[in-house]
Amino acid sequence: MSTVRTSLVSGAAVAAAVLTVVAGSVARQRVDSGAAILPISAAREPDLSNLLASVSSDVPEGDFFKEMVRLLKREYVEPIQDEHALAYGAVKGMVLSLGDWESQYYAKDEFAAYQRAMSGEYEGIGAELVFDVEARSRFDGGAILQNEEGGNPAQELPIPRLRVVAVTPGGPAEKAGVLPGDVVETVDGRWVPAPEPMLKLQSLSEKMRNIAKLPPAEADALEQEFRTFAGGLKEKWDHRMSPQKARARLSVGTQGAVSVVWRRGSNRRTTEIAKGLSKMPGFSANADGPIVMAFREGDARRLKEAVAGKREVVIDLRGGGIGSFSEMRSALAAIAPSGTYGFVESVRPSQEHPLVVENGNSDPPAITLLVGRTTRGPAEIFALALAKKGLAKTTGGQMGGERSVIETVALPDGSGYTLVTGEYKTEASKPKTESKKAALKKPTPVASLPSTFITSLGGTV
Amino acid sequence: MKRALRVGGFVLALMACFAFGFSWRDLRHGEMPQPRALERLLSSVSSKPVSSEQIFKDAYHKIISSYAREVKPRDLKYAGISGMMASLGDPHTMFLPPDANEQFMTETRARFVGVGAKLGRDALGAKAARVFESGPAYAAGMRAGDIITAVDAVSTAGKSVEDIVKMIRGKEGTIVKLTVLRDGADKEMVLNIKRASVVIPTVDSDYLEKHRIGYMAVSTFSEPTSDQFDEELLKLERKGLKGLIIDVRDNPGGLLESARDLLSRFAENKVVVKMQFRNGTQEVSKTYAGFARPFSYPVVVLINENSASAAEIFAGVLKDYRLATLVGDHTYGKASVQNVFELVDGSSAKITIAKYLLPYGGDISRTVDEDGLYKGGGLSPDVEAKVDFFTRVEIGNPEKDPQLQKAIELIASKAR
Repeated sequence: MSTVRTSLVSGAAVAAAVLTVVAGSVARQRVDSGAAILPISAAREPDLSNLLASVSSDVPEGDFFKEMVRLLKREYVEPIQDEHALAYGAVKGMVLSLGDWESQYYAKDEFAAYQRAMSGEYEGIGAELVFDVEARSRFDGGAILQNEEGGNPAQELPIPRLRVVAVTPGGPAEKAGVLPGDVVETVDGRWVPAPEPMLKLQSLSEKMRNIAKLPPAEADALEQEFRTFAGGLKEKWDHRMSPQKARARLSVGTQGAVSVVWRRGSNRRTTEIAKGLSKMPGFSANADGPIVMAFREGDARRLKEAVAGKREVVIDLRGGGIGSFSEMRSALAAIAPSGTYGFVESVRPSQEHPLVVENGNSDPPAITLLVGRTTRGPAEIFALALAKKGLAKTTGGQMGGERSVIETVALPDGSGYTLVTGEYKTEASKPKTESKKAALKKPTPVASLPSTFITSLGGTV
Repeated sequence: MKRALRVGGFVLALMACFAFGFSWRDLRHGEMPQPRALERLLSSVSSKPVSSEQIFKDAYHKIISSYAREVKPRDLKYAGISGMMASLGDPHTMFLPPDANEQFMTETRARFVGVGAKLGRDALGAKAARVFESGPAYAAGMRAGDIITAVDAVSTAGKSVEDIVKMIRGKEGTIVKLTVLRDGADKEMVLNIKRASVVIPTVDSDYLEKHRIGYMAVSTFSEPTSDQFDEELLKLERKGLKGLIIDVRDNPGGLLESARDLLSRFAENKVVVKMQFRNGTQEVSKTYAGFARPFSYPVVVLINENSASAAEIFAGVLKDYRLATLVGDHTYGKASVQNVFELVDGSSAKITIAKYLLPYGGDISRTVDEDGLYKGGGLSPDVEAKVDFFTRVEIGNPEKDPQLQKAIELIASKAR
């Protein structure tokens, strides 16, 4: 009897051990794929007919999402393996719909590279790249691009220039002769759309529409010019790389090489750059020489220590790295007296939020700020705030012109997005009605590729 | 005591087993167990796992509450759902917000209430790209090329086509005043147009006198397409045909049912497509009986890279049964069928529900490289005739349409 019992117990023990090993392996697999370890308890499982039969026609977003997932699971030709991927796709779609190149969604590897860059370590070619946009609305006469990255394909965005604002000293880009101001034209042989060729195409198309009115010799010359230019552009367009992908190619990863054609003014330079890891200098304070200020975590405290006891300081703000708005605010408190330093404007709620500094430095030194084109974001706001209050002199010329307050949001799977949460203004803006009027500018021809390039939904009336 | 020790020892052994299973993928490669994975395990067990719905809602609320500029909650919600569909990587599965859905439905039904015109962009407002001859705008004197500069005396300058369309739409029987500028005229015209139910012609025909060949352009496969085809064919056959050219270039497709209907004129009870659904079920679609009629002359179908979906099915089936010769460039390569699920708020979800194969098993699925650029797929023509992109082609004019010219030559050589 007892031998049977013993073997039963041993058998159960072995089974338990094997199952536990398997459980560990499964748990690991789920951890690595980002799926939930424990099954998500299904609250209520709403019926699709709810969505179809509901009296209210405005469905709450969470329900809508859930219903869509159910619909896809039921109908889509392939099984839906990863429900979470759908959620991240939705986040990407929403961020893209803002039509704002400063608010961007980043996939895992790009977000990781971005966060690394915030701490001063740059993957890729070692350059800080931004999307430069001139016109915010297509009715400003700007060139537009249709959204190819996911979400509504009919959505139009103004075409940005992918521009270098800073390079890591001694990094791969700097070694290849890349300078701040350089614009990316092609990456690995593929053209990155830029506004100028599109606007030229638009003006040629306009002329072509009236070609019948031209004398034959001129008409032929125009047609030739159009065909050559448009043909070349079509070729480039067919093999284009979206600005987002181009940025990722240059900023993510430390292996491999990338070939880039840069544009500086009307000159073009071709480079072959090996990717790596390089550092953007952060805070430094030597006995002699200016304080080099970045706005990374802890820099406000370092600034406070560096200015302690000094009657005059020179701060170099041309570092060109990404900084944080909150750190910049602490830096203001470290060096300047309490008070209001301009406003952060946002539509929600539609008021200005004064930039208030508390627990400031009641005995500030005389401050000289070294600025330039690479002074942007928090650094630029810092300079404007101090200069406006007469607390600092700035030397060096025009700054970057980027005064958005940007928040970074991390998502559970390691991806994330940036979101513009405000615009810094030294003065309170004039009342809203005036700014609304300003938006309705004189209409200029919309520059976009002719319908043979893009399919438009058209308007049937 | 001994018992407790034994139980304790056993529990420890189980924990070791779990740890072993957990770290196996690292150990197998000769690496140390990754601490990060353990971290994630602990954090996900201790905190509640985030549902996909929560991820979406959190981002939605974050943007609504924090974004610096104006955001319309409804548009944001729709953008999220669009993004969700797009993440599947299937260009034909998409979400259509109410405006886009309405446009889609109009194209599918080929019928709508309006003035009867198709608008495109223009600096001064909107340009009439097409004015449907059966519609009230045409009757009131509007013609293609006319630019609408005001609707009911409100200027359209600087407005988007979508906004102008909204201004012009209205209830059947009501009147809209369109201020219209025509090229060459020095004054604007004001047209009073009564909105009516307009059927969009999807089939246009032309009799090519010189060769006694009928030419039919089918622009989409909509509900009335096969009836419109019958009408136009009757007109052509009355003049005596030595051949027929059916042009489905730039035809983006439409209803499978419409293609099936049209094919039924050519063949009876024959397989159109074999569809494969997700759960493994297959369905065969066949042509109807009773609609077939003889085509006593050669038939050529014109195709190009923008011929997709139902247009490819139409051409592909005729090719398989050798009922027509295909001339032109390879087609798009859409080998899937979608169903449109209409939602209560006027939006809809267009979802790929099946893949299909042509009668003899041909899979014309398009393949693209990692950047979405065409690599292969689509129907290949029997006779290739490519066209240089910037050659100014006048579709339907044999003098200025190389692909059409090729089709005519082919028929002429057969008719000998």
